Amino acid sequence: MVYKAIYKKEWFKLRWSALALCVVALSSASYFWFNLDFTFKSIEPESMMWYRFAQLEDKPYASLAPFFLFSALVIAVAQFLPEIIRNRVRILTHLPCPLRTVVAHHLIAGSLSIFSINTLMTLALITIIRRYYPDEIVLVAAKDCLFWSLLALALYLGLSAAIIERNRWRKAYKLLFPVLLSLLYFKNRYASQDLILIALILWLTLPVYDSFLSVKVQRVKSILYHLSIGAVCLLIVSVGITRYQQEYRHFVEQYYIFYSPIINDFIYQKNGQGHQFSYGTQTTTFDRQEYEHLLPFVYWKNLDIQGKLPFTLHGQQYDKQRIKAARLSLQYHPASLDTKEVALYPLFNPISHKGVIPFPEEVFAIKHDRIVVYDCETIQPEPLLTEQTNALLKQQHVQFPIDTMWGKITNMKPYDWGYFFKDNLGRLFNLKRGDNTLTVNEVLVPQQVGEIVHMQISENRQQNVYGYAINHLSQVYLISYPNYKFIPLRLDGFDYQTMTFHLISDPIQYIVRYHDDKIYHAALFNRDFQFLKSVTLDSASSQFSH
Amino acid sequence: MQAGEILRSEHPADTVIQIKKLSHSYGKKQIYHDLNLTIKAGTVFGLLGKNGVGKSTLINILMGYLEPSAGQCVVFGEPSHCLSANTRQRIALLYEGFTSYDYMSIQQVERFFAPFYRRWKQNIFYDLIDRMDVQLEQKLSSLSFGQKSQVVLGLLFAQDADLLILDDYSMGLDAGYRCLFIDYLKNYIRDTNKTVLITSHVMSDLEKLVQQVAIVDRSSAVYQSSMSDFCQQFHCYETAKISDEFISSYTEVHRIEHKLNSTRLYSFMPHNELEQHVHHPLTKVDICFEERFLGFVGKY
Repeated sequence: MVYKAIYKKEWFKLRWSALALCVVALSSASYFWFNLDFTFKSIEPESMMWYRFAQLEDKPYASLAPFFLFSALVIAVAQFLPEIIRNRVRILTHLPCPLRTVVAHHLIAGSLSIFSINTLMTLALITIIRRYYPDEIVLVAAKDCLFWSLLALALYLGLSAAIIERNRWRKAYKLLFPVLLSLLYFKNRYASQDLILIALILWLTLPVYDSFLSVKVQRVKSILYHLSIGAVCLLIVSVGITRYQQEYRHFVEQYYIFYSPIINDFIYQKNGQGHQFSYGTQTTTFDRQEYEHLLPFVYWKNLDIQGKLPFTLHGQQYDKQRIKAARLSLQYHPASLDTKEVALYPLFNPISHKGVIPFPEEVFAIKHDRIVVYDCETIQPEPLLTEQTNALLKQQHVQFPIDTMWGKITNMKPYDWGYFFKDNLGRLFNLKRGDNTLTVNEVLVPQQVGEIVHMQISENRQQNVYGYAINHLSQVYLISYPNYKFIPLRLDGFDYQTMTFHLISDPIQYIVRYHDDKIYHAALFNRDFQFLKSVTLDSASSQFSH
Repeated sequence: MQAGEILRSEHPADTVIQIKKLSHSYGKKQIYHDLNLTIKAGTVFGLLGKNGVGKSTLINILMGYLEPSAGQCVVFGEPSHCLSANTRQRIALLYEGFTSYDYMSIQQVERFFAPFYRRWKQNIFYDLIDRMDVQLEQKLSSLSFGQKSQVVLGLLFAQDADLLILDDYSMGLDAGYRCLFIDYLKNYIRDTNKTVLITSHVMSDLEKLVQQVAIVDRSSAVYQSSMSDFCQQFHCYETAKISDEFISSYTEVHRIEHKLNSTRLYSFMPHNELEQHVHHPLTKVDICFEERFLGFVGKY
């Protein structure tokens, strides 16, 4: 009966706010629906929207996320502001009932309100999403809504603690917790480690109880509580640092290292602050004009404009076509290792006699034990293609679950080499479709290559290489076209987990430069990918070493 | 042995409230210094003082909403800042300004409080409500202040508590509602052993209600006595105009008040004795309790 009385009281207090939030939720969801429908109707094919979601992580419902936090703010204020106006909270603390019971039932009432409102929003959102996206994306949307709801609960508890607290300083730090949590955990993509929010939600009930005790000049005295404050602060700092590094850290190339075929030496461009550049070799410095002159294959367009093409170097003549035909650029960044949240890939189908690659209507999803090909028009599995694909996979003895899928997921390329994937046994396969024909071929990986951790596929006009692969020992291999030969590149000191690399080719040589922001390396290879020489530059001392 | 048990063992059974060596100050302003106060069961105790002298402060300390700088407050044998739920059950508390849940209706607020109190007397609540021309579905926020005060008092009386702490019950009430309240309270506690601690600055209401008084003024000392002793022993005398300097040397004179053509002296000393002391002819003036109270605490 006591509990019922509390819930009734809270209902009288919260009903209008909750109703208003429900109206806002449904209105926002309706607007979202209208907007999404318009977007789908104005994009052709619809699979482009799926692509944007899966590959660009462009979630159309992300604009609804603030609602979840807003609901927490409204309920916390509506529930506890009336309690501190005219110090009504004293009535609660004097009720002949253990204070922790009173607090618990108030928090349950508030949390249930937030949960119900956010569930309404989630259901509305899921209902809308289901009309346009496959189950894989619907699940991600549901997961995002769940985490936003958890964050809303954390925010609600933190705000409640701050509102009730009597001491000004403690009020400020109690307010800091929900603000920081909102900043740190309000994001576009959640992972299982973010479930720590549940522990934080449970912990946040303690500061609320402490705030209620403060009304009677009491505090939670447990040493464990005080220790837990320290632990939560540490957690927030550590999550903050990680988030900062994930979101804002980027590799700034302080040095561009090239190899000049004119002076047969490595030369650099130092990128200083404020658009300040300096140029030189390990023994001398020079101006920009000289720098560009020493790199005719990099600045060939200038030479073309100046009418200096073709030019002769070491007895060989190089014209525009020859230079262009030799150019190739392959890049790597550790962020490339991050897997996509949704394993959905457009199933390209270039028709060779028709020209450019159209963006396909079919998208395949990797399931635990099979591949499902969806028709984006109907949002249903395409039975024939699905059956055909799985039959081919079976024929090649592909072992599920498929570990990783690599490919250049765009139709802005001269042709399509399809996708490369590793099966559960670590074997590499190439899946592609062209001229309405689907193929799956095993790529024989030499034993010494070992475990491949990353591949980059690059459909280039040269058709020399498929791209590159990196193994678990940070050894980089170029994969030759069309025979899948793994050509090792000697990149001393390369670590795929911390370094970027950039391979650039010209008609004479290949240069691969790689760095971790501190140490810059460059390695030179001939056209047969044979190592010629290398250089290392320490950015701290600006000293070269070979 | 728990702290509460130690206090209980030192706490006489008929003592409801015991304050020992209590001191409290706001910054440099000392409100109480070494206050000792005992309120026995069945007593109607008036905590009197002008606005801003610390009546509500003492109530807040007693209910644990404020922490005293020093000293101890014990209510029903338990430290006031950590009263058990059972003890809170025995204390009906009227907050200054009739604080309640204005967003609830009369019926809703009764239904909210009722389950918390084992001895809830619903008939008492509705008896008070029935005296007003209000609907049970009316929200408290839509009632006049006087009507709301009756609802709040109804909630208090319905608790059937052993101790009623009524902090400034008269605030904002007109004479009619004050009378209604005092009459109701008198009837309510008649033939019971209920203890009442009441604060007010409307003295006329309290004269026939209160048995014991503690008068708080701007000094940190608190005068304590029975109401009858205070009324019998604290006198007002009138004499021809005399100067403050002349009279200030007499410690027996509690307060001096100048009228147009005369001077009034307030003192605990009997007529004859005071006349001998001040060497001036004095006329004893008949005054009401409110004048007596103002004579004690001063008008300004």
